[in-house]
Formats: sequence, structure tokens, C-alpha cells
Amino acid sequence: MHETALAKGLIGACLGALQGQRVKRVKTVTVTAGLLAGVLPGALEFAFTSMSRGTPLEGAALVMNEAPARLLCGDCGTAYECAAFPFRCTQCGSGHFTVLGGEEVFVQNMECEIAEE
Amino acid sequence: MCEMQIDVNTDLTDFNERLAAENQALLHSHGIRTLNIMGSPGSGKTTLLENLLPILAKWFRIAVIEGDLATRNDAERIEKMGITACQINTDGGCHLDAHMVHHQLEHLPLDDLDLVIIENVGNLVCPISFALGEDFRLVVLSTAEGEDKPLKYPTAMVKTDAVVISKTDLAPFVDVSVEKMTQNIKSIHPDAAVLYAGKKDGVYDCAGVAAFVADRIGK
Repeated sequence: MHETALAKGLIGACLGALQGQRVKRVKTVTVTAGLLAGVLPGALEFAFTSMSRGTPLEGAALVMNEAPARLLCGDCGTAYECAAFPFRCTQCGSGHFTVLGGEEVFVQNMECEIAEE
Repeated sequence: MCEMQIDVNTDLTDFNERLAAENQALLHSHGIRTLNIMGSPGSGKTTLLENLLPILAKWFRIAVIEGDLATRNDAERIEKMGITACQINTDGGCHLDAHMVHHQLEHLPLDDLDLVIIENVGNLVCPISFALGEDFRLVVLSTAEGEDKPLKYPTAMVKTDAVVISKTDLAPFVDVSVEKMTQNIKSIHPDAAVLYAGKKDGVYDCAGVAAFVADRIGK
């Protein structure tokens, strides 16, 4: 349950991107979490909703996408993706791997309404 | 109403990863290797350390960083053995992060150490996602947690160098097969070393864990 720490970082990153923009309302914030990031989407959403109150992000919906783990096969050298455990190479079926990615919690963008001139 | 998309393009794990890399660079500049020990509350992390330290202390100069929500109990257990220990209290936080560890490194005699062991907050989920600057990781799973625990916590299995099955002496009393538990770990992460700790004839045996740690430090 480290989603409060993530929500704090998420809100900070979004507020930083909003600086200098004539935004009336943020409608959605889109985040992609890797399978190995250990993020519970519901818990992050709850933390984001609670902690964004009183900021320009209040009321914004959090859109969560999951990214697969990216792996390198230790036997045949194929780079492959897995969306679930256990990891098995898509080419040779081996369970030996090195993790290449899927640990990120990436904030992509925000859909915003812009204030009229 | 005019709408627009504003890009954020930020990885929220970057901040901790950067601090962890700084910690590791600082430790390496002093020739220190670092071990991060993780596991559920009550899995036997501190007991393992209490039995591991007398063996490792013959070969290495060691300091221990203890992480708990509250109390200095674990640091005191380690200090009683004559080993430098400091305690981080997270005040409810579920994991250690690289920033907390960085502050503790300021208080350690880095010129006089070969090995820093960090015992993380008892939790098999959150600590896994936070690098601290360690060179290698151990996850401690006790037999009493059930032989399918590796399958329920696959991320912890994937992101560790070794798993220690602890309390092996309890296995027959909790109907757990140590062999099956080992197979479950290997099914998720075949390259993770599986090590054992527990009482044999009343004496705690963790010689295999000590040998693994010594081998990883390469001295």
C-alpha cells in the first residue's frame, strides 16, 4: 500500500505540468503502471481522489492502464512481453529471464478544459 | 468549450531510482556492498540476522540498518551483539525508500565497513518496488506462511536474488512441504537461489545463507 506515496508524486508531476497553462478543469489523468510496479489501481485512484482535493486536479478521473513485463530470455535471447505470471519465453518456453521493463509508473498526459480568453 | 491534452511524461519511480543510484555510488566509493532483506512481518528476518551476523562478522566489517514502523527493538537486538546498528521508524509507512536510507548513511562509519545490511519493513509487497542502493536482495519466507506463498507474491520472487525459506523446523507442524515451496519459487524465478534457515537438533542453522552472502560480496 505505497499508493499514497505514488499519488503524492503523481499530483506533484501533474501540477508542475499545469503551471503556466490556462486550464479551467482537468478531466482525466492517464497513468500506465507496469506489471512489476506492484500498483493496485483502485488504491491509487482512491489516494489520488482524496489527496487532490483543493488542487486544480480535484474531480479529475484517473485512467489506469497496465503495461506488461518486458523480458529477455536467458536461453534463446528473445525479447518478449508477459501480461501475467509465470513468465515463459514466447519462442522457446524457457522460464529463465532478465527483466528489461515493466516496473515503471508512467504519467502520460491530462485531458483539460481551457479557460476562454 | 476548448479542450486540450497536456503531456506530463513522468515516471514516478524515477525520483527514488535516482536517489538509490546515488546511495549505491556512495557505498561503492567506500568499497561497501549492500544487502536488502525483505519479507512478511514475523517471517524471521531479525532472527536470521542474529544468527547470520556472528558468522559474517568473522569475515566482514558490518553495519545494519533496521526499518520498522515503530520502536528501536530490532536495532537494540543487533547492538547487543556488538554490531553497529541504526533504526529507521517509518511512523506507519509500509516500506523504506532511498531517501530514508541516504540519511542513515550519513551516520555510519563508511570508511570502516565492508557490508551494510538493510532489514526492510515487514511487508512482501511495497518494499519490493523501492530500490535503496543495494547490490543484492534476499526475501525471507517462513514455512508457516504456506507453501503457495511464492505463487501469491510473484513480484517479490521475481525481484530478488535469493529466497530464504525460514523456520524449516516448523514445516511438519504446519503441513508444509519445503520441497514443494522450493518448487513454487523456482516456477516463478528459476534463477533465484533458494536457501534454508531453521533449527536442527535445537541449533539454528543458516550456514547456507552465510555462504551465499559471502560469495556475493566476493571476498
